[in-house]
Amino acid sequence: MRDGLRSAGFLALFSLLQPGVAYGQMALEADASLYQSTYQPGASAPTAFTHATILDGAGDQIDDATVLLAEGKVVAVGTNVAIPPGTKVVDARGRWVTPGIIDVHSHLGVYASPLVKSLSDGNEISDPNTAEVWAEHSVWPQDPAFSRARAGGVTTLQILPGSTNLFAGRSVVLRNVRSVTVQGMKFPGAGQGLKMACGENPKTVYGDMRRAPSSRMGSMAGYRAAWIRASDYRQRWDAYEKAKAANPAASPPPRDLELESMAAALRGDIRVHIHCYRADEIAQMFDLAKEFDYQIATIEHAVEGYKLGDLFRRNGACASMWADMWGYKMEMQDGIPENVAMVASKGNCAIVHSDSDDRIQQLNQDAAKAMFAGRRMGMEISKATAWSWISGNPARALGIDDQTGTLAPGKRADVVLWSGDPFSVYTRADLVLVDGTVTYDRRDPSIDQGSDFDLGHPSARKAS
Amino acid sequence: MIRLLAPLLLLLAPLLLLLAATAPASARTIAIVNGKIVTMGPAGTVEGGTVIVRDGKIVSVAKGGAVPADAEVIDAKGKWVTPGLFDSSSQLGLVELVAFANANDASARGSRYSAAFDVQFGLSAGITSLAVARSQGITRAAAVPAAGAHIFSGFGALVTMKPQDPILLRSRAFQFVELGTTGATNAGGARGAAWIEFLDALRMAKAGAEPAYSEKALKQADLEAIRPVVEGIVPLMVHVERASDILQVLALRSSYPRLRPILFGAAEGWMVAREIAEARIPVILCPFVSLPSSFETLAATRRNAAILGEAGVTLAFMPAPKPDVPMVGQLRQGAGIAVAYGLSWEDALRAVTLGPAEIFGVGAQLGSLDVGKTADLVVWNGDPLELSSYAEKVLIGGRTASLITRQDELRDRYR
Repeated sequence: MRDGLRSAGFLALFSLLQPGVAYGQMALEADASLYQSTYQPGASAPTAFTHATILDGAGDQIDDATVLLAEGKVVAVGTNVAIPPGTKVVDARGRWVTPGIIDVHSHLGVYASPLVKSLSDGNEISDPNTAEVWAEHSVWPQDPAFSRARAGGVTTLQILPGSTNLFAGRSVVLRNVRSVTVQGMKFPGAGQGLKMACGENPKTVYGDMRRAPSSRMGSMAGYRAAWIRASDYRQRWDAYEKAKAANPAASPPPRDLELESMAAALRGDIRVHIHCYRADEIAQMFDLAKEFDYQIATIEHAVEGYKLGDLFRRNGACASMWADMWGYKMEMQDGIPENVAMVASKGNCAIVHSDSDDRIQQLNQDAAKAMFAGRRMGMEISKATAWSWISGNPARALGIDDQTGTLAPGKRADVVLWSGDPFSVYTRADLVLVDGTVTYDRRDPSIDQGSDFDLGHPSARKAS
Repeated sequence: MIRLLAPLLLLLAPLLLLLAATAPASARTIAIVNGKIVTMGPAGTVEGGTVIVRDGKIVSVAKGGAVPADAEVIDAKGKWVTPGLFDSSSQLGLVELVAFANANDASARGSRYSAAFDVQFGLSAGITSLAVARSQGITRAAAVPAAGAHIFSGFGALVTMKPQDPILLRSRAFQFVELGTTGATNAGGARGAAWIEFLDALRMAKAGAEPAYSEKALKQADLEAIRPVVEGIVPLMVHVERASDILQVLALRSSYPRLRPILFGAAEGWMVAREIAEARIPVILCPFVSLPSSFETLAATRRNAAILGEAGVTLAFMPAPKPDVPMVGQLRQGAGIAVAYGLSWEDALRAVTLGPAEIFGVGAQLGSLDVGKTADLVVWNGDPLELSSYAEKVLIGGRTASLITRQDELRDRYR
């Protein structure tokens, strides 16, 4: 039963799924059979980019090299690649080829353009614990920002709920393709995340409503009380699974959607992503995870990550950061442009994220800014390493690194051909491929005509 | 009598301040030698050039060129020298934390005043972002009031990015009005209301009318603030995005010929580029804008700057669609993105130097490295629009400005 469901895709990637510890059967049935990905790669032609400067996303740069793609997969990368007959050859002399950009922190679709109240679906601001909500149930696939992000080379993105709640809900990982349904964008086999938030947002939002939490200590108490209930819920379902083995007629405990999400996080079936800025609070988040024995996948924003040495690495988490955002609010005052480089230099898994429908259009430039800030303070950071901040490392954090994020043979052909060095402000994506399918071609606007919302305003597309 | 004199004094004040700000900063002579000097003026770009600065002014720009014996020499070999950058849409000097009223002097939703609101009183050299702006090569900025509860946001100011108070360069440098979606919202829900309120205010200010006695109506001080706008003494920065709104602003001058509008935002400006160019009305825009983030920017495109530039419109750039402080680092990047989408490199640099200086009426003193102008200049390690480049030296009014930021001190504490 379990194996059948796992091969159905939804939970297939979770190596942490322990044998013998079954997920609640009813929950499994609901998750796996009803909300599956229907994404299918489009048509693709065998393609070779030749004489390109290649950043492989895993930390290597290969000059004057070839990337060979076929059947939606990377076939070979190197300076000595035989090109089979029938392959479309693109001379990429002077141009660069990289894996597609992966943004681990996006709200496209849940805070769609135009940002009117009707399309503001990213925060369920009704209770500080809404672990039961799923971002994919809010994503509007017609958000015109998806196509703008495609033009910026983004091939995969995680849509997170917002950060007003202690437990904000489940995230979804999407392929950046045009689709009528969100199911048609869901990355097959990629797991969900559980978004949590610490710091100013929850205590301000609920404090203003004269509700808990209204302080950081109130937030901490809120997390702990909820995790205690979730641990208990998990135990009850585990006991039921054991009882059912002896007695198939055993009756299951009542389902609770909120606790189901949290129990899945405790089991490691759902990756935990925590919005947290300040160094002291990040350390509290790691202690909290120890108390309830769950793994944190990423600390989101980690504005003060540079104050924490190798704490992320020691806790098996990635730090997911802006290049140079700071200010706005008190907990962002200590943001510095060297943050990403300093966090990376301590052996931590560093990620550059956008958290913006604008920055997602040039996340390569944010990686560049972070890299140059590090170089300026004397660090040796290669462009190949910096590219891993927006491809290899995000793939790792999302648990999809066996499929995308690098240009290794066998990986999905998620590839960007850049007009030049993608660390230059003047460079643009010439071609963007998802599973080998061209989803954006700078010279052929017919390839990506935007979302349905873009129709009726053809003038803007003609201008670009 | 006093009622006549007071506005006159208020109008003279900025001129006096401007004189004070451009007075000799020091008797020192500075020579920047061997640089690639991008003057943005008639001298064009001078390779291997020397800029001599004395008493706060540029006294010569020449290829090679003799260096006075008493000069402090800055070797700019392999480096680029440009005019100091001008941020046309900032809250620099006004806002420490956008999110908190007690750290934000750019907006006053609760104020009884609207057009009379004046950012100059909130300026402080102590604001953290000033040093960050300097480190980005920004030497001057427009401090823009944020929309309050009315269509008029009040007077903006020009500010100098120097580390000592006062940083005011010109008070009452422009009036700001919201005539797009924000204006419509503030006026009760529609442009039809915003424009009637706007036209009524212009009419009353022109006629010297007494204000109506009503809590919501413009106060005497507001009408007095609008009068110099009608008379063309103070430019009017108009926030509009939609092409149709832009055309309505252009048409204003048939009734108010002395009005000096500056289009602010103008996401759909490219659709009416020829009309804007013919009206000789400048545009302050954000080169990043590409999304229909509201129904007034349905035709937004990153080609906007290139199309307007091609049409001959005087351009200035803002680092973000809203004048938010933390984005100062994006001013140069935005100019670079405008180039990536087709604007010429020279026009892009002009939009962050001479363009805004001219738009704000300080083009005779600032914005280019011409002999006689105030010595605001930046020595860069490379192309100033590139992500790899940074400001190595910044001169403001002929004085070397510290580029150490609070962020640098944090970095060094934890490195």
